[in-house]
Amino acid sequence: MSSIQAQDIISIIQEEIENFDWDQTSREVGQVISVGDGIATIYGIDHAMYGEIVIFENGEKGMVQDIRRNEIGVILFGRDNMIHEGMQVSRTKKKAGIPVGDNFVGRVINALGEPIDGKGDIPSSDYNPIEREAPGIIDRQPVDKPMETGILAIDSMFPIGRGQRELIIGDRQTGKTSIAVDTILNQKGKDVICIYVAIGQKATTVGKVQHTLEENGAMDYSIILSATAADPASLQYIAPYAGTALGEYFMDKGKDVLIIYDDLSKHAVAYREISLLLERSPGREAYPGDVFYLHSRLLERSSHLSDEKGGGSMTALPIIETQNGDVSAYISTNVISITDGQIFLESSLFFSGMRPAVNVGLSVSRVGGAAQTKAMKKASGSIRVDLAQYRELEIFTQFASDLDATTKAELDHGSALMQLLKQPLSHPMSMADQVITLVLANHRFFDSVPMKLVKETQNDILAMFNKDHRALIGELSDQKVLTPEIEQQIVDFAEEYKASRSGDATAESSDAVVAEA
Amino acid sequence: MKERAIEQARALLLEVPDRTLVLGFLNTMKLTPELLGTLQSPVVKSNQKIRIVNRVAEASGMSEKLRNFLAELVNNNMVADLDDIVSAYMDLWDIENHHVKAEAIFASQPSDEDLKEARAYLESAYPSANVQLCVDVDPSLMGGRVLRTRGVEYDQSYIGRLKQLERKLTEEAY
Repeated sequence: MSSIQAQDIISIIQEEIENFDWDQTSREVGQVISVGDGIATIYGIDHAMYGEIVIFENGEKGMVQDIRRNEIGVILFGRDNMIHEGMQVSRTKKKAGIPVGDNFVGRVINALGEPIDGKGDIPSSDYNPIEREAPGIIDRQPVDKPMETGILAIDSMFPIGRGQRELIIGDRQTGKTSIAVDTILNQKGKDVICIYVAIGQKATTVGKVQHTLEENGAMDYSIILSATAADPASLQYIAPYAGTALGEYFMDKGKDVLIIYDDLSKHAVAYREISLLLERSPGREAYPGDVFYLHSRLLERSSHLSDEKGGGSMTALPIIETQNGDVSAYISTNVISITDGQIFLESSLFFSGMRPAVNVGLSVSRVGGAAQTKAMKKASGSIRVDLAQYRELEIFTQFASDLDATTKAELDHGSALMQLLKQPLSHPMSMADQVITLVLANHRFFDSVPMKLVKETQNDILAMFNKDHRALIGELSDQKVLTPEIEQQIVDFAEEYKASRSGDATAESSDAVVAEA
Repeated sequence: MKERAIEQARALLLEVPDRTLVLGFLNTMKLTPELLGTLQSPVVKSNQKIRIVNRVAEASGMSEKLRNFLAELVNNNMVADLDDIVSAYMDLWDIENHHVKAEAIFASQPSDEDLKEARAYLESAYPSANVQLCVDVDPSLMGGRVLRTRGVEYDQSYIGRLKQLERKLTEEAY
């Protein structure tokens, strides 16, 4: 970067002043008649629009949320302690929006688009309104490209496509954010812009997410938009919409976007707080009557655009926190009915060591196989059925003593599958690795392996494939098709590896016997 | 300004279009602080308050409509809003009768020419209205003037221009 002299800066400023065309038009002003709890009541602005930004005399901004005959209610975007009765307020005639641009990638911003990561200002190329109509029916095309999470349990049984909305729902501390973050990590090199919207979270939690993304090089293609629990309810309310507006900037340019809303339960609580303070009638659980619309208009903006509109997509992963596994609560059922499927995380599975704690029975992806590669579709063919059979058998036989060989084989197969579905944090699996694992599982390769050694065996085999059979891995990754020949090769290589390991084990035990003798 | 005060003012304007009567009414009410205090007091019974209203109305020659209006305020515990109601009444009367009350703020004491220019500007913005200027001086404007009327502000001051320039240079969204 060339150095700039002070004289150059003065010249720039002088030029701007000389060319400055002063706007002589009038502006509508009003006065604050009451303020408190983040809400200001203004008298005098007769033509304010709903959702318009107004500016207070001290520079504070607010958004019009309540229009009555003689006064308007404004939610404040900052602290209300510097606003007093009689203070002048003026219209901006602009709807609430957020500056957008390519320079936002890699940055941490607040709900107003202001940087909060200490890395300086962000030059923006445009300004998008936070509220925008969702794409119409004609402007969309079906979801047909996968958005791989890198998590075997999800990619095999509940595949997510680009442009889909898949809810992640579960109790506290069940791994919801972990699944979302691992999905971001898995987008490395896949030309997907990731936006993580933190709503009402602790600042330490957001910090941990940022740290994880930075450590794994994911901040190069990610944006964090944060409205923590310390921020006013107004900022928590607009945060997901601001994040979506930012995502739409990239989507409209033909890019694929992944946006995570963590979490919408806190978003609904913030909206409830604002609505009650604006004296709107409380409904069920004291939420306002339009709490469904709050989330439906947000999530409908995530879609796969038609080729005429650029072919971009925005995939949404909203997160909802349940209490004691109750998925029939108000907000949970609302969002379940809006999204194209849900991944249900269960505390009991989590504490029994099954992580990710995905409840296979209650989870679903309504897009299904359309969002899977042919290889994955073929490889994951019967895994859900096998697991369903296993769950039934497990309950049925838990007190049985003598089991027939078939039942025992089914139980062993199910146990092996459950072990294979376990996955550590921040270790996404590639599509090829997942296909190999599933092919071997379908061929009952792991059924004879002691349960405690299944994961280790899986890791060893995958390491062997990645080291010694890169051509096969490359073919799977590029062609994304599982031909019978490839399938047979996978099984053959695995059997060879198993045989060589058995031979080594036999030799080691013989040496031990000889040494003992 | 409370919404209910404005609604009361609208009703009053329909019943009593003569503002001098309303101004006289307000002066009567403010002759002694004890009157308003008594009418707002929670320990004085409603029928006692109404009797006071009737006697004051008779003694002051208050019109029947204004007396009824005051009685309604007492019955609805809105006597405390009387100032707001009368203020809203005056604003509504001005709108109804094409009067424009404007505040003209100058950076320094304005000359007759400045005042004439300000009046002409407002008359062009509000044709066929009777413009009433209320002049004030605020040195913080640095120069020029600010005209405020009916919720609209015409900022032609130097400080206003500087703020516009600042917004442009810093490329603020708003």
